[in-house]
Amino acid sequence: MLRVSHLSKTYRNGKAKAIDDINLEIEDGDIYGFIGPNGAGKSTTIKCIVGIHGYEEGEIVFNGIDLKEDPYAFKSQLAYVPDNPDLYEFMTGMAYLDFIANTFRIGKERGELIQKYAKQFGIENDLGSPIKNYSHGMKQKIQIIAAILHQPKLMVLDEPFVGLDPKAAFDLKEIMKDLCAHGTMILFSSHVLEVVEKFCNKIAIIKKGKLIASGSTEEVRGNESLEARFMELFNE
Amino acid sequence: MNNLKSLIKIEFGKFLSSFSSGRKKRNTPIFYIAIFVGLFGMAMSAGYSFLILHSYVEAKIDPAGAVAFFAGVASLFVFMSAMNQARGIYIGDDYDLLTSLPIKRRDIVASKIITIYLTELLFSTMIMLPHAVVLIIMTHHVPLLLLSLLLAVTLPIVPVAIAVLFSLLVTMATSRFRYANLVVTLFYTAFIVAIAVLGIVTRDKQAAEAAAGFGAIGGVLKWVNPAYGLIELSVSISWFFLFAYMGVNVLAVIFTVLFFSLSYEKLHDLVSSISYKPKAVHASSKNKNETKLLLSLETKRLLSSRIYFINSCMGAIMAIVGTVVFLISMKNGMDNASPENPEAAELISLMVIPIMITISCMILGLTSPAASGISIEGKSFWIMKSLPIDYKKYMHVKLLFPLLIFVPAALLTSTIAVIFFHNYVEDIIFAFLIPLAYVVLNTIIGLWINLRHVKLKWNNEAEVVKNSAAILIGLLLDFALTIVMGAILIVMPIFTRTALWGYIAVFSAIVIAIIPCYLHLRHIFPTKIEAIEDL
Repeated sequence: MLRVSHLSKTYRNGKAKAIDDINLEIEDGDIYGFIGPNGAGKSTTIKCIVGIHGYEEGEIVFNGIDLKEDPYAFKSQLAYVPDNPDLYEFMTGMAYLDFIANTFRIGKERGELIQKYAKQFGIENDLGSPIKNYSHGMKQKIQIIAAILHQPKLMVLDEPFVGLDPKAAFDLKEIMKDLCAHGTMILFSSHVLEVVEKFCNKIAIIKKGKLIASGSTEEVRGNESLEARFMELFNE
Repeated sequence: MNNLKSLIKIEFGKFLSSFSSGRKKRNTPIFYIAIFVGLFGMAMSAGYSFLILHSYVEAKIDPAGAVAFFAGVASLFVFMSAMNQARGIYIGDDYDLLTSLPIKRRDIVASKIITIYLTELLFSTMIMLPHAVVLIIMTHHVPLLLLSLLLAVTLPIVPVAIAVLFSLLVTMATSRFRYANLVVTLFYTAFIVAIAVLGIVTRDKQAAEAAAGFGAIGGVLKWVNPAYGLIELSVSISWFFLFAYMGVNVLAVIFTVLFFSLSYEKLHDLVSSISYKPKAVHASSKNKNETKLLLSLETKRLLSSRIYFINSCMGAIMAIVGTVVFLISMKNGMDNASPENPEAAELISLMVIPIMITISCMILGLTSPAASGISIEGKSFWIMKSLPIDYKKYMHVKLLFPLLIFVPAALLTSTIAVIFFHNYVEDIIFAFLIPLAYVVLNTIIGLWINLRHVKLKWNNEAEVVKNSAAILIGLLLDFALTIVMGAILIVMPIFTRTALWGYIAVFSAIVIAIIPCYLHLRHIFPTKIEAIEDL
C-alpha cells in the first residue's frame, strides 16, 4: 500500500502552499487516476511521491518504507514516467534502457524484455539511434519501457498518454492492466477524463493544491459523468 | 530594424543570463564576481603589455609590432571562443520558433552573429584596453593609442567570421564520426602546441630578438585572422592600409551574414541530418556495480558533448603545454646565464620548480569539471532523483571523474618538471605531491560550489561549463589559492635558501584543508541533492 498522509509543500520564496494536506491511499492492484486543472498541484504531488521534490509536512510510506527515512529502498520498488521525458540525449535508446536495467539489477533476461517491449511499441529498429534524434512520442515510449522493465510494485505516471499514438496508448493500458493483475499499484495524472473514468478504479480530484474529492470512481462521479462532476466541483 | 534590435536583445540576454545562478538573490554577488574576474584579466593583460613593451622600448624598436602582437593574441582568443558559439547560428534550439515567425532570415542570422561579436568584444577589450593604457604611458605614442582602441573594437570581426565558417566545416566533417569531439580537441591541441613551439624557438633573452620573436608568433596568428597582415601594415599608420583593413572587416560581415541568410534552412537540414549512427547495440549481460555504472554514464556524457569535452580536456592539455614552455625557457635561460652572479643563479634554480607547481596548479584548476558536475545533468536530473541511487556513491563518482582527467595531467607535468630539474630531492617529491593534492582539493571545492550554485535549466552546455556562476566562483578561488600558494613557494627560498619549508607549508595546508572539506561535503551532499528542485 502507498499511504500519503497530510502532505504539504511550499516552493522556495512561495507565500502560498503548492499542495496542502494531501491524503491518498493506494492499494495493491489499484489504478488510481489523479485529475485537476492546470497548476492545481498534480505534478507537484507526484514529484513529492517519487522523491524528486522535498516536502515540509506529511508522510509518504510505501509498504512500510518511509520515503524520507529510506529513499533508496522506497525508490527501488517504484517506477516514474514524467510528463516531459528529458532523457540522456547522448545515449542510444538501448544504452539508456541498459542503464536502467543495471540500476535495478535486472539479470540476463533484460535483453529479451527490452526487445519484447520495444517490438510492442514499434521502436525495435530505433534502439540503436541516439535519443536526441527521437520524437517526443518515441522518448515517451522509451521511458515507459524503462519503467516497466523491473516490474515495479508502484508505477507513477504524469500525463502518460500525451504524445502517444493510439496503438501505443492502447498497449500502455494493456501493460498497466497486466501489471495491476500482478499486484502493482498505478497512480497516474491525466487531462483525458474519459480514459480516467473507464480505466481507473479510484480517482482523486485536486484543485488549488487541495484534494476536493477522492475515493472509488463510482463514489467520486456519483450519478453523473466524470466530466460533469469535475466541472461541478471545479466551479464550486 | 525593430526585429533585428529585438533579436539582438534576446540573444545577448541569453548570454548574460548564462552567468546567473538561477536564483535572483544570488545573482548580485555573482555580478560583482564577474566584474572582479574581468578586472583580474585586464590586470594580467596590463602586466604582459608592460613586459612586452619593455622589450621593444629597451631595444628601441617601433612599438607598433607589440600592438600587432597583442591584437594577434586577442584574435586567437576570439577565434577559439567564437568556435564554441558558432553552432547556435544554424542549429540553435530556437530554430523552429524563429523560422515559423515572419522574421527575415537575414535578421535572424545578423542578430546571432552580432551577439557573438558583442560577447567577443568583451574579451578583446579586456585584452586591448589595458594594453592601450600601458602603451600610452610607456611610449606616449598617440596615433598608436588610437589604433589600439580602434583594434579593440574591430578586432573580433574577422576571427568571428572565420570561426563561424570554420565551425560549420568542422561540424560537417566530424559529426558523422563517433569520436568527433576527440578529433576537434586534437586540432585545438595541435594549434596550441604549434604556437608554444614557435614561442620556444623564437625566444631569446635579447630584447630585439624577443621583439622579433613576438613578431614571428604574430605571423602564425595570421592563420586565424587574415586581416592580421593588414593590422601589421596599418600599425605603421598608413592610411591606405588602415582603410583596407576596415574594408576587409566590412566585407567579412557582409559575406558571413549573406552566406548564412541564403543557406539558413539548407544548413540547418544538412547539419541536423549528419550524426553518428552507431551499430546495433545489445543489452549487456552482466550488471555493473553502481560506481562503474555512474562512471560509465559520466564518460558517455563527456565524450558526447563537444564543449564539455574540449573545456575539460583543454585545461589538462594547457597545463602540460604551459609547463613545458616554461621549463624549456627557464632551462635555456639558466644554461645561457652569466656566471658572474652564482648566488642569483642558485636562487633562480631554487624557484623554478615552485613556479612550475604554481603555474600547473593554476591552469589545472581553471577548467575542472567538478564545478559543473551537478549542473551538467541539466533537465535529466530527475532521473538521478527518482532512481534508487546511493547519493554518497554518486558524490564519489562526481569527485572521481574529474580526477581521472586531471591526475594524469598533473603526473605528466610533474614528470616533465623533474626530468628538466632534479637537483634537489624535495623538488622531485613535492613536484608530484603538491599538484596532486591541489587537484583533489580543487575538485572537492568545485563540487561544493556547484551544490550551492546549481543551474539545471540550460540549453547549451557552454552555459554551465564556461559561463555559469559556479565556474566563475571556482575560477576566482583557483586564482586566489594559487596566488597565495605561489607567494609562499617563491618567497620562502629567498629567506631560507631552500624550497623545502615552502613545500612543507603548502602541502600541509592543502592536505589539512582536504580532510574537513571532504567530510563536510560528504555530510551535506545527500541533503543538498534532495533539496534541488530546479526541475
